[in-house]
Amino acid sequence: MSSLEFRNLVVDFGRGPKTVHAVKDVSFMVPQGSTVGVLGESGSGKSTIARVAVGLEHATSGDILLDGRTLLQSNRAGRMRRSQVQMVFQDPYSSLNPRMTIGDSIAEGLHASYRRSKQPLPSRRQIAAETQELLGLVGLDSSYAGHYPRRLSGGQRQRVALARALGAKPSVLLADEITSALDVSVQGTVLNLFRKLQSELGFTALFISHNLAVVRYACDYVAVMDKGDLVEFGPVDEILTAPKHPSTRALIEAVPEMGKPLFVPAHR
Amino acid sequence: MTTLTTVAPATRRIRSFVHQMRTPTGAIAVIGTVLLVGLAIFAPALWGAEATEVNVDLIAQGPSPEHLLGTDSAGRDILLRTLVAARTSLMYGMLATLIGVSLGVIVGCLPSILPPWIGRLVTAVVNMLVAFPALLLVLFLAVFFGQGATGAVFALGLAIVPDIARLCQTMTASVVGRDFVSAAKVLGVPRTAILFRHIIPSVTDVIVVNATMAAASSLTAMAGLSFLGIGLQAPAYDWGRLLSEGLARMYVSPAAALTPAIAVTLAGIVLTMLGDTIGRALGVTPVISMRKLAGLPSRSAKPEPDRAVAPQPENVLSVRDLHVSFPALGKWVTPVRGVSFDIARGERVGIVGESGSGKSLTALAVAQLIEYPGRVEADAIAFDGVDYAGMSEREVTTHAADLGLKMSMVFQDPMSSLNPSLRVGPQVAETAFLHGGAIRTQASDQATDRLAEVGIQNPKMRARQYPFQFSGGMRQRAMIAMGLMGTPKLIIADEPTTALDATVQRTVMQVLDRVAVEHGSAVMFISHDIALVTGFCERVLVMYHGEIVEDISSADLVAGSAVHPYTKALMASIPTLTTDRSRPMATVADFMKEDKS
Repeated sequence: MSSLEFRNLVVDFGRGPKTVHAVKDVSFMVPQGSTVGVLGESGSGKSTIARVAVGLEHATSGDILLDGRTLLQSNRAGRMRRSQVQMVFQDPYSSLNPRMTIGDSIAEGLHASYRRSKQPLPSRRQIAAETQELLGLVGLDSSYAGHYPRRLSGGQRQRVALARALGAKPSVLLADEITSALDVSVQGTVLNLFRKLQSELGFTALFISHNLAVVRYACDYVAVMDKGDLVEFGPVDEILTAPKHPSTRALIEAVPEMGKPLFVPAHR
Repeated sequence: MTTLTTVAPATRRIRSFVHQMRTPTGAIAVIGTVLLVGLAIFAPALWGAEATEVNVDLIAQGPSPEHLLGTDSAGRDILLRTLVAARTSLMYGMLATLIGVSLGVIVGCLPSILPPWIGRLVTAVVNMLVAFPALLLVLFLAVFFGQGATGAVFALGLAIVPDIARLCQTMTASVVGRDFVSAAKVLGVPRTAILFRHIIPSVTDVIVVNATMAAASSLTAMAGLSFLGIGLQAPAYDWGRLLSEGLARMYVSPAAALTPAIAVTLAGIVLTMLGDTIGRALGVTPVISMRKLAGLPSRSAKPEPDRAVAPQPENVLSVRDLHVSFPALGKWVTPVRGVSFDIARGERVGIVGESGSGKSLTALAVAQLIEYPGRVEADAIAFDGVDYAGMSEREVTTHAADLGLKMSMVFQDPMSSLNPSLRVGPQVAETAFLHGGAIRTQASDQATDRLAEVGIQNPKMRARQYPFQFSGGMRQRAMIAMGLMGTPKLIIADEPTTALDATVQRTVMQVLDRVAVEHGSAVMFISHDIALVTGFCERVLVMYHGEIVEDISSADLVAGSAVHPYTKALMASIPTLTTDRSRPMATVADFMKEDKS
């Protein structure tokens, strides 16, 4: 179990007058074993902080720490440490290579954990056995190892993406809108799986979403971002029932709620 | 255990290739290629000596039984020389292609593994070379390398490099942007492994097709160089040289020039067709084949209860027993199966369902927007008094103005439904101009008014802007404004706010609400967000597997009075701000299992 800390993180895209300040001095802590939700609209910088943590984008200044040690070193030690932080992406149709079998995709995750522990790569058979184990963990039949992604539904693909990430034995899992490309009817199964895996494996998680109800269900704490700023951070119930910041309030009010008219209807 | 069987891509490709070989193009391409290669291999051994044998007695003879196409200026048989020249022509063409494609792929893949700044430099150089006319490049390089086959082959090869490299760059760039490459990076997979495991396999198909096409053009270009005298040098000969030798006596014995010319042409065509066939087999070139398709399954004859009710004139829209089918893998699939519903004037009806449940296709069918090869069948699709069911495309066209002015559509992705290269104002005005008989200035004034009506600030200035200068919410409002150019009796909105943030969604919904009230329009609102649908519509249709399983008022749906098990399950699986967190979420799968047992 590990904690993840964002310390004065600043991310700028571009240079000169056209610079986009994607993340402006964001600091917060993901306590070990907990799930922190990151809420915000598109362009709020919520995905960017996760992409910096796994090395897909560069920080302009500030730091991200895993158990107090920086993740932003670009040397080998830094890369190895970074592989303890894994990410699951939003679009399950783009996150699996259509030309690789499910088993090969998951094996890519397993290789990462062997690389990190500097163990020699085990035999094919060993990898295959571990792949089967991971498939079982995410609730897929072992026969799926030989399938190609095209036969799988969105929900099943997202399970495979989870298995691949877990193969790297991460201490921190970053979930970037993992249910927003799925149908409502499938969303629940992926959320249940995520919670089950977390209670079994005990990883720390950052759960990025724009859906309040999903964040409330999956998370212990929530960080609210608006145009690159962290505007509010706290226990999920507190923030969602008594938001202090106006942009949190606007965000909550804008979400349509079941059983309530969307707004005062125009005069008929 | 599942009973799914796995077909490896390799096996699938072989099957696909065999299938393509049975098409006329495929058959000609494969037979032609086999003949060409056969000639290149065997012709010189069979007739090589005979074709180079100088015979002073037979100089420039016409066709005769011994020499079917006559002889050339040294008394050699023209037909045999042409056949023997297949080897040199083909070989040098292939060599040039091989050099060009290999270098092109290497140069094209470099930017994705080199440090970014060098990558950008390589890209810039390639882009510059692409802009340079290939023919000039060939001639320049040919002169640079000097006369002779080697020089010509290198010149041709290098001239192919920019195009292939450019293609490779754009393809790899699009693959690199995909999440599975990001996932591999996050897992720490080394760069070269990413290149060979993820990037190159994703681009090979297109490269193979383009390489075959490039082979066709190198073959003809090589002939061209030899024709100009900077390719093969005597005594060696290829089709280009034969052509130039024969051309001098074009009017005396045309066969000497025409035979090699026909050979070059045929070889070029065969290789192009081969490229096309490979493209179809690999799925690079799209194929729509209507042949060997079983007849459309007939609609069930039994009258369903609501199917029997005749469309009522007080309804703006009446649909009866709607089926939408598409050909897929040699048979018909029918994603919409027997849908019947009514929308009263001014009524708001929501359609909810999973992706693939047929809700968008239903909307497209109503709007007469299902395109070939899709098929729409229905007992009635009556919109504002006109029944479009069973109308031919031509008949529908006569009502286009009617449909255009009285029905408006708002789609999910406004960026793809607005033309990016046209200003917004004229696009909004188009309906009035096309269907309303308005003159251009009137129409554009009206467009500005409508943009103002949907809450776009400074509409005159905005009308002159391009779609990319609009935010997502503004584009969606512009789409609504477009629908307001007529007097919409029905607004069909297909997931209009799905791509938008919640706060923007709210403003767009407000605009839609106001517009519908002011113009008395009915709304057919498609969404997967049930809270949004029930908050906006009076009635909800729930679609499941291409059928309407529930037709219920929003109030009843929210109150939990749904009857169909799927609807119940769907409602229970939606997380809300009061969901019990101590228990797993209810899922549709749970409910459907219970229902079955």
